[in-house]
Amino acid sequence: MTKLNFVRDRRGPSTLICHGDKNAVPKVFHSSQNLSGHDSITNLPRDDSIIQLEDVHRTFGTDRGACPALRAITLFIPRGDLLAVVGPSGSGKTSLLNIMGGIDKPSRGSVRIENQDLMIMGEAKLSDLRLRRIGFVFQDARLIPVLSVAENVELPLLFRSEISSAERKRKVSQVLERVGLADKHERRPGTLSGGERQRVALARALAGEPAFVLADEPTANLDQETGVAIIELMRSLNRERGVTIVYSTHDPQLMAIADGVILLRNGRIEENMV
Amino acid sequence: MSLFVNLALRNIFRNRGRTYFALLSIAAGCSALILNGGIVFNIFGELREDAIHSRHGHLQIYRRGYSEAHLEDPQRYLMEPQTVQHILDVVRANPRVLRATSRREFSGLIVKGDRYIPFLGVGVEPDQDAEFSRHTTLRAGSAMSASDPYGVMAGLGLARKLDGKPGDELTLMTVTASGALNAVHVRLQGIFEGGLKEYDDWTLKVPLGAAGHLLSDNRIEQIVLLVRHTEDVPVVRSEFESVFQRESSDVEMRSWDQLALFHNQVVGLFGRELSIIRLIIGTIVLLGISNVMGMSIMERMVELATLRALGLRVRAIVALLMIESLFIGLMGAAIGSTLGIAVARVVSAVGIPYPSPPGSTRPFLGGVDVVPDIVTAAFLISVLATLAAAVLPIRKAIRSPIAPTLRCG
Repeated sequence: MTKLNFVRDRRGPSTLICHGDKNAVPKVFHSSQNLSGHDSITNLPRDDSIIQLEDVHRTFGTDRGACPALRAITLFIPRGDLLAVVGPSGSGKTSLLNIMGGIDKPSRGSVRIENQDLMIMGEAKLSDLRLRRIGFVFQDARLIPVLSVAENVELPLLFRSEISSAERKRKVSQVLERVGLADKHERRPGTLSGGERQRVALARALAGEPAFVLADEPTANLDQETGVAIIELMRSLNRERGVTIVYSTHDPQLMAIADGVILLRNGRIEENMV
Repeated sequence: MSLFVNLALRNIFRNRGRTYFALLSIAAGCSALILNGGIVFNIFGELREDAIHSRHGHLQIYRRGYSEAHLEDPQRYLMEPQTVQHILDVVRANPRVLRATSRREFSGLIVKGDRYIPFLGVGVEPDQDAEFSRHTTLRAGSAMSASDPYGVMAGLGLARKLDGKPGDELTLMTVTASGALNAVHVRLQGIFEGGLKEYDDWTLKVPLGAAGHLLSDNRIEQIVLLVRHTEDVPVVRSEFESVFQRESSDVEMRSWDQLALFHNQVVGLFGRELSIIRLIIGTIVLLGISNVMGMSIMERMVELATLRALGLRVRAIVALLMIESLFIGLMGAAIGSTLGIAVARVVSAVGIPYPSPPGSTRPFLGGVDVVPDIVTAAFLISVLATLAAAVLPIRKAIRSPIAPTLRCG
């Protein structure tokens, strides 16, 4: 079991540092003023960040007026990290991931993925970006029930004309083998356990070799042990393939596996949790 | 893209009950279109054959200008016997022609005792007339024969006016081309019913020889042809027009559809009705299945949003849903066509008893024709209605924003 360590960041004014590996250099993500200052938490110049969010606001209209889901979020996600987004329900985790993934647009602010400005992209270009550069894992896997495991993984690859049929099959086999489902190609999602379904979803997200994967509470419907196994799998895939993975979770134990943690509360990056 | 098509096919049967209902709706609409069209076509066919085999034949050949002006100057448009014989030789040599005969129309008075009844005479070749009058019903007596050159047949209405019965002696009177009054004695051989009241009330069929005797003139007014298959009429007409043009013959032709005004009016009326019925059934199919198609798409909104999140473009989603609708439409139309054809065959075997159509004097036993054009139209209407039913739900699915839709799941 990974040991969870919470320590106070001595570099910033009030930031939670969370890491599961005592030997790893902890990374911390906190309020925007820190990020824009000299004390760069990511230790990366902005141009090298895979995801750049600057002063992002997201407000939803409700019966009771405007409801802010995200407020003044500025984040620079470094390439190749495994990051956890944590926070209580309604803190804006899903909204943040949706904006990072280009399936939602902020009410205000700037979003750049690999230096491409999402704010000026049309729907077709955004779809293309998601298809080629972003992998998604949803809370309840969201597999197509009428397709087999292999077909579910293959489906997004169908729309990438540069990948031949043989190459598709090879990628599907490879990634399914990697997530431990080599013997379940032909099974339908309904016959799999929750953990297996999330492995298929992870395989689907990774098959196209995206620049980064966004996983919105991928363990929420799993028991603790299976949840840890999924995050551990994400950890090892992140290290093997160098793919950036951002996942959201409630579970403190699962935060510990990440390279760094983004703490959200009331739509803001929390400045002081400890 | 076989996986994509496979996905569409498998989606169709995710909710079998609903799919069966959709298929049933489409099939019912499609078979209704086939049956309705088949019934109307059968009635059209009955009227067409009635017009051809009771009165007009398939083609008529006249002296040039006859159609426009023969009423003003009938004598001018009569053909000499040798011309007629030449034309008959030409047309009878064509293998598509079943029979050819010559006719002459005239008018006069029938005298029977103290009754003087006007009539419209048709001089016919007695040995050919039976084939040209296949749809004429013999109500009393016997048909004309070449062995009785003065045996005539009266229409049912005319016979009633005469109070005539087979065997009655009649005197026919007319004015010859030279203006003289002439008369011949004939015998009422039979009474026929041609199906058209106006025709039956006035027509007297007279052997051509007797007509020539009465008119003191053996010239012919028209040559009437029957071809083996009605659909060959345009080809045959075109062939003869070429021949007559080459020979510089002074003749013109009219086909049955130019002559059968009653048939054309009925076809025009019922044809319009058929179009309206098609529209109504197409609308019913559309409304019936739009709910089903809508439910099928709406309950998969989250799944469709997931596919869009994974990077499938809107046009791919539209294609997926359209392929699903197309498959449902094709299956429903195929079932409907099979069902419609089967029911048409059964109904035709039993027969549908109809009362007399407007203007006609005879009820008839109809059926349901299986017409390839109607089956094709019904099939296409069913498929198009299914596709149209999917348009609004698809529009809604692709317009809904991804993030809020995913949140609903």
